[in-house]
Amino acid sequence: MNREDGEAIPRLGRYRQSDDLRSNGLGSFYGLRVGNDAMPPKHNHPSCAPLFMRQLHLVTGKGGVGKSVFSTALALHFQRQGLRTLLVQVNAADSHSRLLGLPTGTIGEEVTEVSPNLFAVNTTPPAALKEYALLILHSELVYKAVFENRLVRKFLRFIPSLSELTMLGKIWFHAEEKHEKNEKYEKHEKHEYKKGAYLYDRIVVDCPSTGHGITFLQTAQAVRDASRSGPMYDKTVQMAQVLEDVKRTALHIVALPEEMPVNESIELMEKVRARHLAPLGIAAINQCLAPLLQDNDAKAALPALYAAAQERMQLADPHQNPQAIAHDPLLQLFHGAVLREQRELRDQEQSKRLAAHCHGMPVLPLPFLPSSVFGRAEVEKLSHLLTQAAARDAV
Amino acid sequence: MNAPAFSSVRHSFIDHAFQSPANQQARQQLSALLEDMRTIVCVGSGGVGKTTTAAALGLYAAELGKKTLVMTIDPAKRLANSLGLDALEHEPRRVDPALLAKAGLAPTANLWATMLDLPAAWDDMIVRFCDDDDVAQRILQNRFYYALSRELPGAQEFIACEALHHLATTNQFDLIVLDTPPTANALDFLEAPERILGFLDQDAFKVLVQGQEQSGWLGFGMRFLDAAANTARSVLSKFTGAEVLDEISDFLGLFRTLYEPLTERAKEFQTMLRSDKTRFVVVTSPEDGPRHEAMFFAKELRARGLPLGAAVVNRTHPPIVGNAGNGSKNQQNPIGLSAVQETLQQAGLSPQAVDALATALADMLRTQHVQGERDERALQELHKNLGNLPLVVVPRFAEDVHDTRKLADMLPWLVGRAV
Repeated sequence: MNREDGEAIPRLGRYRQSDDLRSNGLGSFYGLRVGNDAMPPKHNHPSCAPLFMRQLHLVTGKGGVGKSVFSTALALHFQRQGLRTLLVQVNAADSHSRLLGLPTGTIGEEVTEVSPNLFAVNTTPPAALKEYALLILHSELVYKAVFENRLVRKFLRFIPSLSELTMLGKIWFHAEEKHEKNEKYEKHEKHEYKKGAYLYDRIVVDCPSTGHGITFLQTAQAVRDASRSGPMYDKTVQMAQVLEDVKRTALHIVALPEEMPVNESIELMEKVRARHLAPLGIAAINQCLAPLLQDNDAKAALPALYAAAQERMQLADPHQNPQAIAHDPLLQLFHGAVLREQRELRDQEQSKRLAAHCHGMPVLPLPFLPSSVFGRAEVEKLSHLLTQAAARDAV
Repeated sequence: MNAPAFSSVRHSFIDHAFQSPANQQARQQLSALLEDMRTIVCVGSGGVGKTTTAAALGLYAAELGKKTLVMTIDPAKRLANSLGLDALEHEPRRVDPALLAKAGLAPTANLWATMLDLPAAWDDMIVRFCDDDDVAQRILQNRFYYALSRELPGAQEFIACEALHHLATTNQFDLIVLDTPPTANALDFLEAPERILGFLDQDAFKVLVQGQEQSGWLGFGMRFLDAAANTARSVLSKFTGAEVLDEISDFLGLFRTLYEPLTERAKEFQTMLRSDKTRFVVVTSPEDGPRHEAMFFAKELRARGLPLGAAVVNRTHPPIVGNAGNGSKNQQNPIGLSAVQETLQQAGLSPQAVDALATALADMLRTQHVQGERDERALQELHKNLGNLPLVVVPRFAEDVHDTRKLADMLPWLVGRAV
């Protein structure tokens, strides 16, 4: 167990690392901490605000990092700005209903207004295929005769990229949807829409997780490059144009401050840049632990806690009586603090590693929120942090 | 300062977590599996430490004296490096005993590792199964082959089984621990062979794409079907472009000779996976998504008669022990805080400093308590759902496990003893 010797103790003095991070631009995390004063923006710190002005927000990342949470929080942020927002989930079990505090199954294949100005839909390949086919065939009858044929259905499953393409097509369709006449949006009187304005001010797309996510995003380019003509070609050229449009689209990457998710995010950003799939937006680092001891008084007290723990340890021989040690409140607290500190250090190290690859993308660390059930309340908290980040950057 | 005494504080606490007799028994059962089995297949959703668990189990078996191969799919770079793997390769490579010695482990020569390059493995298999090199090359260049081998759900799993089968039949190893690709869905793994074969044996393809070959069909019904297929073909080619249909047709023609050997191989996979020397280990974390996936996986494995050996629950937050049950609900004074405050005051700290530290620690404890309780409920649900399956509980570590030393540190929780 000798390897432990040099490890635990010196770390207690390493809280200073967080100061380094403040001056290195990752400080936005500490500024975003709930109930904490915001950090002043740095001049060279890339800002979220201009990104939030774009219409199409694609959210991607490794499975389990909180893409749905980030997507719903972003949609709530836009809704709060009075923007007509569409939240899209792509081919996944509906998690948005729960995160928005709605009864399970509220969000389905049809676009539904779930609260004023917030529209939501969960798109699946069959539903998207139908809409897409109708868009091209212009005939419900032909669609039924051909596409609802059992053999054709089986066959269609294996056309490479078809399901991704149809779902992208649906997103594109909504991005292009326009108001048909001048209208006052009845639930929000202050908003008037001119005929021909986009129907949705903001669209947030919760993309499939990275492996499939990248396939999903590159579909339009792949199909465009592989074929030369035909209705599918025409549509994909238009889709790829919207995806690549720096004025209109942002691809946000969600990660956790852990080795594998950070690796995957770096890989993903590199692929996106190399292939110009979509303009990169925010790198959100989810579930970051804020420094436990932010206060100088608390930091000053730590050595005394350490010394006390030492003393207790010498009194109770762990090999003789591990139970006594495990139940010693002081040692237990101390142990908790040591573990916590290690997690913080890992979070900082991994966040720094990701930030080093962000090249001009705003890095937005989001706090870990302790709660037994993650639901609407937590999503709201995060959405307020996004609003704060945008407001702070706009100054 | 007496450092060794302090390090034992850390250990005694974690050691204390999840040490009930039931937990210990589960670890012994997993240890026994590693001693008795020839194949261990680790399954579960991504991001739960599946690769790490597979590597730790392999390390343990090797240290027991079995010649062991760990087959990884997508390891973290640091883990790969610590096993001496720096590139994807099919051929198993011996983990340098010096690397193990450097990590403070007994330098065994029994540990082997390989990191599979799945797309390359698909291409290799095609070349191996094709008698004609020209046909093989045309298949490799076909877009539908590309989709089949890279993107079709189950394709990765199919080829991982192929690699396992290939190495298992050579009898080079006493034990192979297979880390499976991170699946979006348990069924991707379990149904991989059927799906791949289903893909190649589509009536739909025959009817729609190779309509010409069905000209021998007689009878009105058949002719009707053929006519319907012709209509469908023409609408579809309007939809997808005619070249797509031509390419599928080409692909199916080329692949026809491979259908039989692949079917044969898929049957062999089934036999291999059902052998009494094979066990599946479901790896999960207490979080909702992975936990539900694990329970679904266990149910499906049992329904298919596949041998399930144990479940490993990684990243579990230990409960806050002591008087946490009642104390922590008191916001003002969560467990032991008053004792700590007293001690600190006696040490001569200012009241502000004591308060500041106590507030921070109380905050921390509340978080840890919430996590501990949530994970406790998750474990209870897993126990109830998995029945008598050994449930091996591994605590959440403060740092990512990415080197051989940390793999060895996991072993007391995985198999109940250190190496």
